[in-house]
Amino acid sequence: MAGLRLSKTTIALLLLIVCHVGPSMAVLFSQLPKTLIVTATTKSGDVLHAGEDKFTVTWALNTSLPAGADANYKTVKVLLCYAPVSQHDRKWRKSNNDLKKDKTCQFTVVKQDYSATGKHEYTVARDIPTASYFVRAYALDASDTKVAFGQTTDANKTSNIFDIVGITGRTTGIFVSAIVFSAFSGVALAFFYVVENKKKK
Amino acid sequence: METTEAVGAPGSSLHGMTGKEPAYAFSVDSKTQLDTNATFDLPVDSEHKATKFKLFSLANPHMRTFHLAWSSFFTCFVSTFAAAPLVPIIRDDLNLKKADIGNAGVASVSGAIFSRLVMGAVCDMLGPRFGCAFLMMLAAPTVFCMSLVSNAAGYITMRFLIGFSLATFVSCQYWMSTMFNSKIIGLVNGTAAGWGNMGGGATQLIMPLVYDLIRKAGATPFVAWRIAYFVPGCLHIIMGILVLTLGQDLPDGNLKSLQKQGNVNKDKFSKVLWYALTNYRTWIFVLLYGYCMGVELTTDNVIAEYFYDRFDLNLRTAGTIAACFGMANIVARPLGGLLSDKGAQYWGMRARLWNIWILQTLGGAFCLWLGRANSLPVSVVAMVLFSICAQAACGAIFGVIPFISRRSLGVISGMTGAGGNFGSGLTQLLFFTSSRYDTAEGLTLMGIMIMACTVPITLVHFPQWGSMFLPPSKDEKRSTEEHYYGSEWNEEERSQGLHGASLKFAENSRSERGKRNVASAPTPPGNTPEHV
Repeated sequence: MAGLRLSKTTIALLLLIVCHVGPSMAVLFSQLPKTLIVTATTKSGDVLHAGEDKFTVTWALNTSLPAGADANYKTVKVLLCYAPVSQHDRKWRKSNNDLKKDKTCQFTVVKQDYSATGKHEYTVARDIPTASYFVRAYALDASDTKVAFGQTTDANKTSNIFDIVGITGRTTGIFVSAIVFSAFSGVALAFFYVVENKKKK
Repeated sequence: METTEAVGAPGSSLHGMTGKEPAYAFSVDSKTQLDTNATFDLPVDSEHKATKFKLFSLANPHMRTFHLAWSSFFTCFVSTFAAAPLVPIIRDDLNLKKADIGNAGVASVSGAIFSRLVMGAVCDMLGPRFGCAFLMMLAAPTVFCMSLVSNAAGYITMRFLIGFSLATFVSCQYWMSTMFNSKIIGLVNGTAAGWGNMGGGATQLIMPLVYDLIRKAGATPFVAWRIAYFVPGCLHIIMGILVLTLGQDLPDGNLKSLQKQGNVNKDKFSKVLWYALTNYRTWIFVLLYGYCMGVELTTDNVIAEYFYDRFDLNLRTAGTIAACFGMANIVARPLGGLLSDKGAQYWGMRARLWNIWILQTLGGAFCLWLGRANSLPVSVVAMVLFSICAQAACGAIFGVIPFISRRSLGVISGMTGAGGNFGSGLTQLLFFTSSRYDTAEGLTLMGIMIMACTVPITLVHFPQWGSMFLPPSKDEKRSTEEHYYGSEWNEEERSQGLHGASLKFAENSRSERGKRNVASAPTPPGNTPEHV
């Protein structure tokens, strides 16, 4: 092949491709070890109200593991995750084995430095939507990559599911304003119509 | 013998479009008799309709009417599609499933099918100004009540009711035809329609922006989207009042004469409807429009949510990209008409038909590409190309509609418009409501369906001009324009001379033979303008 000269643009393109592909080795959920034991004070079928009710989540490293299993755990991130019943017919909440694309857990309960045991009291945030949930905790290493997890439910995500009732956003202020504006619209129309008919006569 | 077409007669809402004029002319030729005594800002003809189109003027009454009409139509598009960019928030607030979102999208375009038909009658009775204002003001409460919904049923119902306001299309076109001379009405109506449709794109920018501002002011997401809905609602009220205070029905401002003429019904509606329904070309164009305008409306409904979910963008970015789809209307739709006219100059009707087929099929191909695209830049490019082709196809289709029938022009235009909404409802129902397909697959399938449903245009044949593949009829009698347009009247009507306007139109439409044949066609003596 006569003189494989790479032009500047080709080099730039190659660099672009490499940088895009480079660091991401997909973290798969199925490969994460379940080393944390996570429990919450919510029981199966509980109904909590956003903005008002609280629950406490506790996590601990499984003591039956060999020492040093948690050597690279730097942070713990606890999340509120959708139960399968709330994911049904809602592709925007779909679970995906590739954790980059996974949309199961969309709300952070707490993120703090790792310790072998921990607990946190959480008041359900005001913008949590109405749905069924469970709690999951991820252990993250120094580069913020997920390396282990634990959750309050079983592998099929059927036990210990609790409900949260969201705040609907339909405030009295909005209710009154909507009525007032609508009435104004009707009255204004009637006014103009009547005035115009009078003018014609 | 001319028949003066009464303003209230069936089909009169498109009585400006004769077909002789190039669809997108900026001004009429000097042969039109101008009324030089009138003191309007624009030159006017004997009916005081403007003969020039000055885009950036607000002069009363002609250009002011133009701007009032297109902006009311624009506002209705904004409110009908206001939910689309906010769906990622609304779906969590109301606990919606994919089926609910899809059904709401279908509902939002279905109402207009009926309201557009009723609007024609309302314009005849009350005039376009009141027709427009009534609809704007009565639709405002439906927009405000959207802020109050708390479940899927309420959401679907309100989107259905708000969708009725898309009937402002009819009042807009009707109003234009009372103000502008028939020789430039093609451009005027095309621009007004395109700019109105732009609202479907503008809303994808406006609503997320308003939502963000309200969030910054401290509201939670579920409160913010409801407050955001007050913006289109207030726009409705403002536009309605502007139309009532600044608008007028006729150039001379006289509503009474409009009503007087409306009593004289020159044609029987049942006959007009019959000739529309029994002309097979009507149905083909209804199908075609369903797959250019219809898919445009569908995409307005699904594209913001698609970009939000597929590429993990935030609401504002997804909305901005989605807006590029609808905003292309500002040039794409008139462009389609311009291409149609240019082609017809050289090759006649055959060029117009090929133009539609090429644009719409390309649109389908780009839609397929959009569904298959896996990266953001490629998706955006595919979407923009899809939008330009689909919207140009809409413009091109209305370049051919005036030639399908002279007698039933209004009904055919109305049916075609309804076909657009029907096509939109159907595609949303088929591809974007069930959980079987995700949105990307839905777009791919929609692209395939567009290409398939454009094929029937190959069947459209005019005996006097031919079709995409076949030449005009060899039969001496059938190959005249007079025969085609005259055949819409029976012997009795012809003996009474009722078909005079159709004959005049036939004469004018000889330009559709293209360059090679116009020279051999007999030139009519004394080229007097059509009185409408």
